[in-house]
Amino acid sequence: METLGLLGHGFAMALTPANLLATFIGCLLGQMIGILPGIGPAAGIALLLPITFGVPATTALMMLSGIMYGAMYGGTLTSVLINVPGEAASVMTAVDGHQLAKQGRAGAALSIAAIGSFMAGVGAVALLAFLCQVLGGFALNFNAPEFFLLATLGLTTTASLGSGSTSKALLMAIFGLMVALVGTDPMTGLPRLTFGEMELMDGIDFIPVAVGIFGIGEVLASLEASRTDVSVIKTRLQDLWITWQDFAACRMAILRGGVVGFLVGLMPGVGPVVASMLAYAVEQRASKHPERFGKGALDAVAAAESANNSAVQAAMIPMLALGIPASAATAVLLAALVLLGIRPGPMLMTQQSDLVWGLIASMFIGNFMLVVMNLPMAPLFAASLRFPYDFLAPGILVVSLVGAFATTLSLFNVGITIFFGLVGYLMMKFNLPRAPVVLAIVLAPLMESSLRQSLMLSLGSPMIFLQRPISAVLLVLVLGSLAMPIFRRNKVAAKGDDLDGTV
Amino acid sequence: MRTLDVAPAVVMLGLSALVYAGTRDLAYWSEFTPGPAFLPTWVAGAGVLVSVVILVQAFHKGGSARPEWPDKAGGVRVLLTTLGLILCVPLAPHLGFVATTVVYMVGMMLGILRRKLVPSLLTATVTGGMIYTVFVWWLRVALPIGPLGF
Repeated sequence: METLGLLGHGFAMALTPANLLATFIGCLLGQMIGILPGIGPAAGIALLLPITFGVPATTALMMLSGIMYGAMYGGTLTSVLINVPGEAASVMTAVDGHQLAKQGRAGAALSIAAIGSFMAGVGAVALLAFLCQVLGGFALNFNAPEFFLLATLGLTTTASLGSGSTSKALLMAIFGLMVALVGTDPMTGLPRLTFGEMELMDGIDFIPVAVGIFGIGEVLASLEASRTDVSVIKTRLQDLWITWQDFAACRMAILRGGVVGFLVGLMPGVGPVVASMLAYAVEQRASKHPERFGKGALDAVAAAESANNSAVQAAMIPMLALGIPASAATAVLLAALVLLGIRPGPMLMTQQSDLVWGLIASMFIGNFMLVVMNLPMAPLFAASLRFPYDFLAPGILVVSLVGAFATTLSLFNVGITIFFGLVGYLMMKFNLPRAPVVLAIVLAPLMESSLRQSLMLSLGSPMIFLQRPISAVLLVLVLGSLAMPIFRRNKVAAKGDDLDGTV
Repeated sequence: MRTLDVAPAVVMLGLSALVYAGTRDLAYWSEFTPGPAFLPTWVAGAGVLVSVVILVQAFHKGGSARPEWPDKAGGVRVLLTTLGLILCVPLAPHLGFVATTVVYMVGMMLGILRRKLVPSLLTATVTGGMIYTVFVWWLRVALPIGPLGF
């Protein structure tokens, strides 16, 4: 009952004209970012962060989070109409969505994707409202050892649960920690790894790194191939209505996708890409017609889209309640919160409850705005796909430079952005995951301060991490997340041996 | 050779050495608390450990895995785009930030991406105008100003 009262207060905040406008702008920008190749939600939030300077923190946060979940809706259009996922989380949508479009059912695919995203998104936000409070209350028992292990868990699960190589993901998390160590020691004030360079005394700012790695790196990679103007499958407003039979056939896929997405979204470092892949696999097993998957299954589109939107909303829970980002986009959002003068974590729910409940209410409203944008207005957004990418790429690059300059008014930061753009490009070439770098940079200050405080409390004894029950559990989880890939590899190897034996 | 695995591991070995060397003169442990070199030492150690694991895995797997580099034309596009971006940094204080971005965009669209003159000029002007409106006029960001006043 208390939750409903707080949510009602949140709606009163979110429905003010300024906040409604901010939510709408965020959703619209997110929708466009989802449509455009070469820029994802993490880079989008980092790039657009400077335009929120000077507006109240709650309004800014409503806009920035709108970009994050709006991108999930937008990515569907390109996946279905041109078979190019505008956002990585829409990869699985492209598999069946484009097949449906070729069969003349683009409208049905877009429609079920929008409805599935909306239903799963609203469900996830409702759970977010409840769980944030529970988790935030529980986390009030946390102290320095728990926060250190929680931040470490964020990094190790990124490595062990991600889709690529575990060791490479760990290596990139270590690289992120190295970047974060540059600057001034937080306790003694001594310069560290600055090599006499005054500009490095304040450390390497997070925004230039995120904009470089995700924004510039992505654009450079997309410039490798010369582009011919894309052919977009046409869709009309009248095609966007699905039949009751179509919806009835997909309703369980939406539910399953939403649940899978929500659970995956809660785990640090996993994110919407894995959520949509997992939901697709689960749906294929549950479907009465698994043979249709890959050839234009409407329930496959429903499951993948419900999962990615649900995961994005669920990722807000660990970020708001614990201050631990669960994905690259929430890592950028966390950094944005800190820049706006807000410290996420257990105290946030009590000290800034207006902000949290206003944000949650804005997510309900934003999901509603997005379903409107994606049903009657889908043909309008589809028309934007005909705009040649060659005219967009230079714009993205220069906005990256201006955004990097605007955060600190330093040309040195512009240079850092370009440098990390090249690093991001090379990381893509060498199949190195980029999210762990960003997560590590965001988590490093919390990790270092809580580790040093813990060891100070215990007079240098690492036993403090075992003596406290919650930290002992977290330590087991950290070790478990490191051991899981080894266990998984052994299991795969054993399966391989079994198969060899049967041949 | 598995360049795809070996190269990042070697680079990270070098960076780990740099982190260790760069914090060697700082205190590892102060009287009651870990010093400024405490975390860098552990991070450098972890960097060495994971790099060695990747190298061992690469030699164990054997075979060859190389990054997929672009063809010559694609490589030139990426290289020129990057060089243009780097050139923007020293140019911005003299030419003005917005003017530099417009010049860069026109150069990129005409010279690198081989697009037509009029749409390129139009796109660059509109984008420059939007940057000026949002960052200079609305947000009052003090972007470097050149002889043209923007």
